[in-house]
Amino acid sequence: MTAKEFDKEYRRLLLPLGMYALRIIGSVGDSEDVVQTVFLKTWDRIRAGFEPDNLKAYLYMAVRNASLRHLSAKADELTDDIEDAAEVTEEDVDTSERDARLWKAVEELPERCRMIFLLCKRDGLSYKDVASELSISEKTVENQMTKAMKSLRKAYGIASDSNVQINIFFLPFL
Amino acid sequence: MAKTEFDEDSGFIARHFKDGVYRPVYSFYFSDSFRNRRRRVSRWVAASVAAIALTATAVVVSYQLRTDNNANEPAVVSLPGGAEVDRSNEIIRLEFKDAPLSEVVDGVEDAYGVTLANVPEGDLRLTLSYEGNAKDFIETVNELLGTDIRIEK
Repeated sequence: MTAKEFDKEYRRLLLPLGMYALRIIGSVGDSEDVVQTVFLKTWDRIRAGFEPDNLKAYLYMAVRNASLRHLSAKADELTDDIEDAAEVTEEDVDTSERDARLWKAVEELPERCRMIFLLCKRDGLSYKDVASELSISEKTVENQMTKAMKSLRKAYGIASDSNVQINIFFLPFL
Repeated sequence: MAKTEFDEDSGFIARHFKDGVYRPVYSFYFSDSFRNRRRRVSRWVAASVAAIALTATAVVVSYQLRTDNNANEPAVVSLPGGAEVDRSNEIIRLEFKDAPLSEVVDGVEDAYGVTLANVPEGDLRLTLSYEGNAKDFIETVNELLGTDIRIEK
């Protein structure tokens, strides 16, 4: 594998692997450190002659192991959940990729829309409270939330609520 | 009302969301493209190494003193690559070992996503470890080598 190919995979998989580590570790800063370190070490190994059959699968496994080591280093004792996590499943990968799409969708929201979305979803404020905090109307908050949720649903891969159009064809009797 | 999977997942993302994280801070491509080059030692390099190293260190130290605290560490990159995005204002670490000026120019253009102009011909070589933005880097090179390289874009 060339450096250019690895670099391309690094840029492609960084966010999904970050989401995967985040699900395990629960901390953005720690999960980012873990994933960046995994990439560095993997590249060192590849330069030393290591040739993974499936780089993506290898990286997911490496991130899982590094995340669990990170947790066990912090915890007084291993929990049952950590002990039972034997493999990286396809569902884990799908979840991380979906999380990555959601994360990117939030990043790409206009600043104000993102702020309103986070106040509602992260901080649990009502539309009324958000409107009061930002000195805007409740209707504006509602509109921005609708916009945000539409973007996120699209990234998530589900159709947004839309009017169903019914076409009725009057067929002549044959 | 029961929460859907989407509600759970979007809530998870919202609770943890932080702008500016999970971004590439390394470039693995460029670090290798210089590694295998043949090296020719020139008298010019021997004479310039000490001056360049001392000046570059001073520039990096003074730059770091001026830089405000940022939650994210500066991009620690060894010979960054990837010229698709303009990163001329990003803090990037560059390392060159006995590299001809033409290769240094290629490296800077790829790292920062800029185009350099007025690059002189000749057997100028650099050994340099530097951390900063494109403008400061070019100013440093010009001061050291007496050149007048410009950033076109």
